[in-house]
Amino acid sequence: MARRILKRWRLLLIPVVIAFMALVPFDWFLGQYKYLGTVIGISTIVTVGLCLFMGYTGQVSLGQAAFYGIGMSFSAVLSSVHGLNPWLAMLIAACVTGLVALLLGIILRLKGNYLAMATLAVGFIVWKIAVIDDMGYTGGPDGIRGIPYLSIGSLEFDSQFKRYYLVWGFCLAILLISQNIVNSRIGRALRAVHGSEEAAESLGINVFRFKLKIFVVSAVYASIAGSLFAHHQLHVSPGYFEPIDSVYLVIMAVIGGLASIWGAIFGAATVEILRNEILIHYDKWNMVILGLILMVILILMPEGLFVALKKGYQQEGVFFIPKRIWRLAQNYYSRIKGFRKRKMAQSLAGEPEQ
Amino acid sequence: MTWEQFQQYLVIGIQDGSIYALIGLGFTIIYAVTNIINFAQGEFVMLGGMCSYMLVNSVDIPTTPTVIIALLCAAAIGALIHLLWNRRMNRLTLSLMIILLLGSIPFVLFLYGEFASIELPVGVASFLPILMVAAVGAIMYLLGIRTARRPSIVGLIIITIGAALVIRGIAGVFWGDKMQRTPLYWERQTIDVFDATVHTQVLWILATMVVVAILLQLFLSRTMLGKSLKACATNPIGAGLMGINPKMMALIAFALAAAVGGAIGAVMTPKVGMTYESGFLYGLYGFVAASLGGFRSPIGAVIGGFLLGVGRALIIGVDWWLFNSDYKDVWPMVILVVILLLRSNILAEEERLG
Repeated sequence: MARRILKRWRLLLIPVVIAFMALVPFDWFLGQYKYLGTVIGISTIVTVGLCLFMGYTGQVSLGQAAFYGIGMSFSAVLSSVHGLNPWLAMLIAACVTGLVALLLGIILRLKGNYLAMATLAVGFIVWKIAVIDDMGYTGGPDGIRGIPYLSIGSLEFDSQFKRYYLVWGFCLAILLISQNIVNSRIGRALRAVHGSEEAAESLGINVFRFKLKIFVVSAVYASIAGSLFAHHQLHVSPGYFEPIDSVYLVIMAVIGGLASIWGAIFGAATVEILRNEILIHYDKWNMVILGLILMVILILMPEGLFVALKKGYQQEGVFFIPKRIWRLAQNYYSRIKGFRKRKMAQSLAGEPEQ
Repeated sequence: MTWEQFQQYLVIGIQDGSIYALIGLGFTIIYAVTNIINFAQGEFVMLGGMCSYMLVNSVDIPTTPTVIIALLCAAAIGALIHLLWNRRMNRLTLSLMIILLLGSIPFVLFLYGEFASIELPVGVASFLPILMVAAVGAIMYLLGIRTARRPSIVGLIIITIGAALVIRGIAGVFWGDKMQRTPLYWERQTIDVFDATVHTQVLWILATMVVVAILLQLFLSRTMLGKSLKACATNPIGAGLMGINPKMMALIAFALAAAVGGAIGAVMTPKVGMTYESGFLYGLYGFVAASLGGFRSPIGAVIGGFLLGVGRALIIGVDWWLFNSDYKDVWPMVILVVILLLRSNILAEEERLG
């Protein structure tokens, strides 16, 4: 009975969440947080790509901010310096980023540790080149200003209110596309690659090509997010895609659950709220707390916080956290007791120590 | 570039080369024994420098209660770890715990904050950080990596990244944004060697590098513990069958690598200074050095470090086309990616076997 009610609850939950998200930018609700909401949406888009690449395919990327930066810079330069239509600029930026990812795809021959280092190096190179800016193109460390807003016909996205819906529209579309990718033949192939590359290969899956495909897809997502950010902030600079930002993106993906598309919203929201609201004046504490969160999640629940909470709730109901802590304490206590007993028994029996 | 200039750049190259060589050495120690690339290696270097700064400037011969409290805290940490670890006391565990205790005392004192300001001479202040950073490395292994459940390679990488973030953040909170320097070891600033002016601290850096490398080589080839480490690096399962505890060896590897990083960090701080953020770049360079040397051989890492340092200095000196001081940080990363790609087949094979 209770189960059935819970199921109906869950059905009710989805419209409630959607209504909540839709109402956030209104002034009588959470109007002052509409900037934060927009940033969360943008981060979610990048994180979804990272989830596809890291969670489903089992690879690792510490250079995702590079693609975000490439998309951002191209969009900004094309639309402000060359006066292109912002939508066209966005499209070109996405194409260029996809192409770059395709060329960089050769590093996907590496695995694990080495892939992590190689992607980190790529992220660093892209950021450093944008900072150096020999050609005077991206404006060096100061960046570019004077980027136009996006617009459809006469509707210009010139207010925070409108841009919130624009970004979340994109976000929703990308989440749905990713959901379809995951549930399609490609998604199953990717999970096979995650399980074991050799096994996947022996089943006739072209492992490298699938990895490359998903790498390009995640890069294009990042690029779209970068373009949205450029037309939202109207100012871009290399400071927005430093190597450390790639790490923050990984943290978002990990909090949301690496293999969970919808968890990305949760992960992005947690990190962005922490960075932009709670610890806005304490950027070092921010680092400490995010690092601790990252470690704790990977040590205790490698499948991700969101997924672990969901699973715990399904298994043991609402109070699963105190229940688990209680069980852990009991377990630990009995372990110590057992240890002492064993020692006493040993000393009584006069057994030699091992 | 004239001959005199060449010599001058060579000196810079040797200075940087020794630094990178020792950081690369740390990478290879941990990687060979545990197959983990430790992203916090650069933070160990930073921590070494910062600790020596802390000891020189405001330590901190404390009043009696502080000592007692600090000892109790440290003992509690050690006892807790020991209890969690649930193992019998032998000589090795005892000595490790002593290192842990000694190393954590200054931190605890610092946290407790009751200082009489008596400054330590810089020589002493350069030795203590080695112990302190070794303790940090050991604690990081015990709390972060050892406790991980069902760890995957990607998970372990991300745990070390989390640890790096935590260490960097805490260093930022403790020591602020400013670049910190410690006084030079010798009164005299420079000496002339051939046509080049050599900073005296460069000699110290070089000497540290040589001494540490020789000590490490002796340790690995002459002592029982070092031989066990080597055995673990070649074949952990086989070593386990021979009565070597791979997990203990991993702990020692972490402490050793951290100590090496701390030593070079303390020695280089008078010359190059240290901010809480500089660990990241040093870590990357150390990794490049290790990759030049083939990841598993300490001597290779030393040679790789010198190649990298001298090459980087010469790039600054050449100043032609893209080889100029702007791009001095970009080229090593490009080389890193290229090396990883060239070796990708071998690396994939190694990872499959290891």
